[in-house]
Amino acid sequence: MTGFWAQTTAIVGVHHPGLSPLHRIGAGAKAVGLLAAVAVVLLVDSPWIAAALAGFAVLVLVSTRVPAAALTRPLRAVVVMLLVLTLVQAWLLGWPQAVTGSSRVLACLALAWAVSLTTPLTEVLDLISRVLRPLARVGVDPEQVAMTIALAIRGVGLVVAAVAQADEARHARGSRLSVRALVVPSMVRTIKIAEALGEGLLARGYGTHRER
Amino acid sequence: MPTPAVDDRGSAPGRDRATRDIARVAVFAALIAALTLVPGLYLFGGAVPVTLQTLAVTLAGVLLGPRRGVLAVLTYLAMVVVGLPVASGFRGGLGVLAGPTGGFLVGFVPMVVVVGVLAALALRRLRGAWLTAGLFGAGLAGIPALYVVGIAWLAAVLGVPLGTAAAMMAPFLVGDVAKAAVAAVVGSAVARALPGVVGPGR
Amino acid sequence: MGVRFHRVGLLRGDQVVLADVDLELTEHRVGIIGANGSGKSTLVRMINGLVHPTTGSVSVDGVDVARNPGRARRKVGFLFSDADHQIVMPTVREDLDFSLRRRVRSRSDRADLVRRAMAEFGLTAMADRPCHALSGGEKQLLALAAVLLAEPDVVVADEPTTLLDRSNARLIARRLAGLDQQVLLVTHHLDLLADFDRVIVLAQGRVVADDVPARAIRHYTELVG
Repeated sequence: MTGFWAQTTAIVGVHHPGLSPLHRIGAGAKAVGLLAAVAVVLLVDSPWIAAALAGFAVLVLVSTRVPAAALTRPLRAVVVMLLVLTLVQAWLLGWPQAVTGSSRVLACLALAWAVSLTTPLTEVLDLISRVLRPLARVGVDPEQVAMTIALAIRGVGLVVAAVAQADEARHARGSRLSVRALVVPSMVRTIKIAEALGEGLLARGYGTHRER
Repeated sequence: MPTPAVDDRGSAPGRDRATRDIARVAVFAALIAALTLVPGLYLFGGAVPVTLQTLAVTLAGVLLGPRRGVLAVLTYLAMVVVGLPVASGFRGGLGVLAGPTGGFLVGFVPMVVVVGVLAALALRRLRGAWLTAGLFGAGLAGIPALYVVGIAWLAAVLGVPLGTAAAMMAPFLVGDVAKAAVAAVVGSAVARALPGVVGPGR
Repeated sequence: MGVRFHRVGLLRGDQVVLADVDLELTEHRVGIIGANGSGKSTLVRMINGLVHPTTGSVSVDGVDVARNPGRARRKVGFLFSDADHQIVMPTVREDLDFSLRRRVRSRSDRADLVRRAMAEFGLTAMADRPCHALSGGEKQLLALAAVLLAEPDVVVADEPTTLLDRSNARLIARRLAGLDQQVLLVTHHLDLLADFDRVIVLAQGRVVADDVPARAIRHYTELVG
């Protein structure tokens, strides 16, 4: 894989192992804390308090001691978005409102980010199946939900590789960039990956545990 | 569950279909994530980036049908909520949903239902150029389903009138119409390339 | 015991994919060869019920695959040629753990078994790396390690070395050769079959030779010219 395709696949596995306080708290506690914090942030109306909360949220993010290199790319997107957001709101609603709105968004993003950086995916998936357990009665299989999410994360790399291969094949044929030359073959490859992964799941015994 | 999948023709046991469906749902959720991250246009410098995301959602509706299409969208949203940086601009976490453009993520749910139901109808009834036209119609019908939720959300979070929020989104309409056209061409080509694999109940 | 194909046939539309395959495979090492499209992949996919015959039946250690696919699949470990298709979890450690989830309840026991498997297959250094970042050879090693953690009675490998370079192909072949379990190997690498007990040759969906490796391979090379 070359160029931006390779970069794109680098996203999977946002968890950074570490020993910070946030790393040591359980996934459930962090999720509850995050929800509570988001609720508080959304209720705040004063620009000063909102900005202070945003600052605190950024400190929480820094306390994870995750290397800055891992944060730069998403950070760039976030900063651009916040700048535009602030300007649009300042223009439409005035500065106090703009500060409140942007601080809210920044606080939510920083906290959510801090949680995902410090929580291994397996713990997140376990948490999801625990949270969904009450829904088992209405036909939702919590473990199946966690499995689907895990498989989707695994799938990002495969899909990106499929698009990259279709693009290489297009180059080899000397075709111009077009829907028929790139998007159609990419989709055919993607569907074939889905079929093959389904076989892989079955071959590894998934989905047959109910009959014994 | 109806009609066996093509690959295990013979005597396909229905219980295997549920597992094969998990794989399809997961891979299309991955597709939405992948096409979101592919660099796109950034109008307003990134406030609402134009990515191929809506193309992927439309394709999920066209190629998976409404039921599995919704599951694929929900799986993608779960990836975002869980904190994976698979929303536009490599963002992730609950904060993205709470933010001003969160409605354009939640709106994928009604969008994929509308596209899926209409596309399933088209795939069952139409052939050739008519199929492409039908799928284009299905894709177009999905756009208002997305915009209604997205614009209402944007207006609420920014505290601006609906009209202002709608005006902010107007430039994106051109791109979304183009993406519906692309999805239609792709959908009918894939239906031809993989007969029996694509469409509802498959 | 072993894998039994009882008068197996498969039609797709009016195309004959397999016709009247009747085999009882009990030998420790069985090779299956044939040209592309001869039906060998389809045949071995019937062993764990990924494909079902239109006529006849398949059983593993006496367990009918169509009637009891769950039990049959637990007996069969399957290695695909593209390891990417059977790695289902995002990281190496998680994927190995997936093989144990049903069999081993205790989380710490699973972690121990996964650690041991990673050490045995040289995967320890990449334990928490995303699977798509592995090389082709590493992926196939991971796939094999995951298959073996599930403790199958039979290992079926469908061209497991086709996508690998020579040294990785040899590595995987050596791992397969060292297994205690029965191994059914579909391959185009005929040199891997030298020490096998039995080799089946398929052509156009039929068994055209069933012999010791040397004679079966000779038959096959004459067949494809």
